[in-house]
Amino acid sequence: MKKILWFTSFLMVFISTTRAQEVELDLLKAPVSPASSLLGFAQSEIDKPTDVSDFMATIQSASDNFSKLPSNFAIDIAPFWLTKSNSLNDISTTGLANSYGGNVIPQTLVLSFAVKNVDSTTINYNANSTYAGFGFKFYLYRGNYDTNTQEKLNQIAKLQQKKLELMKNNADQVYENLSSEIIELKEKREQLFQGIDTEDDSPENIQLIELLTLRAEKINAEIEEKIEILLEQNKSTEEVSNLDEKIKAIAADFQLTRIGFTWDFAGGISGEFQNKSFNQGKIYNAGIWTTLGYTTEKAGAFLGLIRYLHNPERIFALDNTINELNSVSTFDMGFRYIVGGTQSKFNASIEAVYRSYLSDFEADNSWRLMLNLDYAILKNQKITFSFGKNYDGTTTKDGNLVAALGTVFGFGNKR
Amino acid sequence: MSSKTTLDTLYLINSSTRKVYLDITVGDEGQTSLLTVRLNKEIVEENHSGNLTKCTIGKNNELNDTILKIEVTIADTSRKTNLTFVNIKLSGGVLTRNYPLYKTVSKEGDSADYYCHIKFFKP
Repeated sequence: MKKILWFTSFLMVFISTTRAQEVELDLLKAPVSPASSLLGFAQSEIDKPTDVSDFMATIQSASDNFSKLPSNFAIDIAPFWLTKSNSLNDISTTGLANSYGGNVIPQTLVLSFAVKNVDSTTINYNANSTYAGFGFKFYLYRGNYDTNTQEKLNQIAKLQQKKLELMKNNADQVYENLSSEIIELKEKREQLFQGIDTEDDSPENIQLIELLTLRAEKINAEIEEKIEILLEQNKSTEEVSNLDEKIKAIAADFQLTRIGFTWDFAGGISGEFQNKSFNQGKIYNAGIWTTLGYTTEKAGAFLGLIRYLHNPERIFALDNTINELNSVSTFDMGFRYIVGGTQSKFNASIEAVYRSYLSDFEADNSWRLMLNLDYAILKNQKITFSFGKNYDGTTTKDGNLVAALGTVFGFGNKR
Repeated sequence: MSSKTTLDTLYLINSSTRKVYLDITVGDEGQTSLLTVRLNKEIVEENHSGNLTKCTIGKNNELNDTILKIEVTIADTSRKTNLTFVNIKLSGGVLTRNYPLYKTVSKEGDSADYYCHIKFFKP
C-alpha cells in the first residue's frame, strides 16, 4: 500500500515535470502557434476561439472592454472554422478524408498573433519594450486515414444503412396514417397560397410570396411538433436502440488518424518596439519551417525538417545560453524517425539536426542527436524521456527524469 | 438543449421547365453521416455519406404534388463538438430556400436522426 502511495505521488510529480519539458522534445516539428513560440508563450496561455462570438469575447477581455491595446496576449485563429457558415465545404469525416486539394490549405490554416509586455524581473526581454508577433501554419498534404480509422468508418456506415431503412419505414408509416388534425393543418397551409401566381416573378409578387411563406412557417412548426412525436412513438425502439448502441460503441472513442505523406509550412515574425513606440521598432526574431513526413501504420514515421531562424532566442552551440547578439541567422536541417503505431501508446524516436550559421558568429556549425521515448498513460498525459547530445556537445540529461524512470522500472520488477 | 430534427414544409414551384436542385450540408466538423433522398417512392440518392451537392430533383413542371423525403442519421464521431446539423437548400423553384436542422447530442458517440418531408406545390 505504501509503495502504491509513493508510486502515485511520484507519478503525479513526474508527469507535471515532463509535461513542462515537452516543447524541448518536439524540436523537429513546426510550432502550432509560430508567433506565440517566437515570443515565448506557453501553449496553455494561447487563446483559441472557435467561433466569431468567442473571438469577440476574447478580444473584449484582452483589451479591457476595448479600452486599450492588449498587453500580454496570444491568440490562434483558424479562419476557415471561425467563420464557418452554410457555404462550408464538406466537413464531415467524408469531406475531411482528402489528403490534399483546394480545401486542405484553408481547413488547416492557423494564423497566430501575440503581444508581450514584461516587467523588469523577466529575463531575455526589455521591460521598456513592447513585443508583437504574427505567424501562420498550414498543410499542403495532411495524409490519409489509416486502416483502423477507415475500418471504423465502414462499420459505422453499415450500421447507419440499417438505421436508415428503419427510419424510412418509420417515416412512411407515420405519413400514411396522419391524424385528421395534421391533415387539416396541411390543408390550411396550402390555402394560404391560394390565388398566388407563381409564374409572376415581379418584385411585388416575390415579396408577397415571402410574406406568405413566413406565415406558413408557423403552421410548419405546429405540424413538425406533432410529426416528431409520432415518429418517436412509432419507431422500432428496440431495433433502433440496438443499432444506436453499436454505433456508439465505435463512435464514442473514435479518433481520426492519418498516415502517408504529409507536408506543412509554418512561419512567423516578431518585432520589438523600444520605449513602446512604433517608430522605434525592429525585428526581434523570425523563422520559417517546413516539415515533410511519411507515416506508416507499422514501420513508424519519418519526418524531415528544414528551418531558418533569424536571431533565435537560444543559440544552442554556445552552451545553451540566451542570444544577446543581434542578427544571428541559423539554418537547420534534420530528420526524426518515430517507431510506433499511429494509435499505439508507446513511441520511440531518434532525431538529428544539423545547424549552420548564416551570419558571422564565433560558434562552429553543430549538431544535435536525441533519443526520445514516450508512453501515454492517460488521455493527454504522457511519460516522456530523452537522452542524447546537444548542439553544444554536452550530453542532455535530466536527473529527475532519469531518476524517475529508474524508479518506475524498479518498482515494476518482480523479485 | 434546443433542437430541430423534423422538417415538414411546402416548396413553391411554377410551370417552367427550370430544374429544381437540392443541396445538403452536414456537420459539424468530424461527424459521420449517411442520408437517403426519395421523390415519392423513387430513390434519388441512397446511403450517401457527407454533403450532397447540386442534386437534380426534376423540372418545375414535373414536380407538382410530389413529395421529397429525406432521412439523415449522424453519428457523433467528433471529439471537438457534440453538435450535429443538416442544412437543406432547395433552389430552382419560385424562391431559393434554406432549411437548417440541428441537434447537440448529449454523449460522445450518440446519433442524431433527421426527417424531412417537403411537398412541391403549385397553387
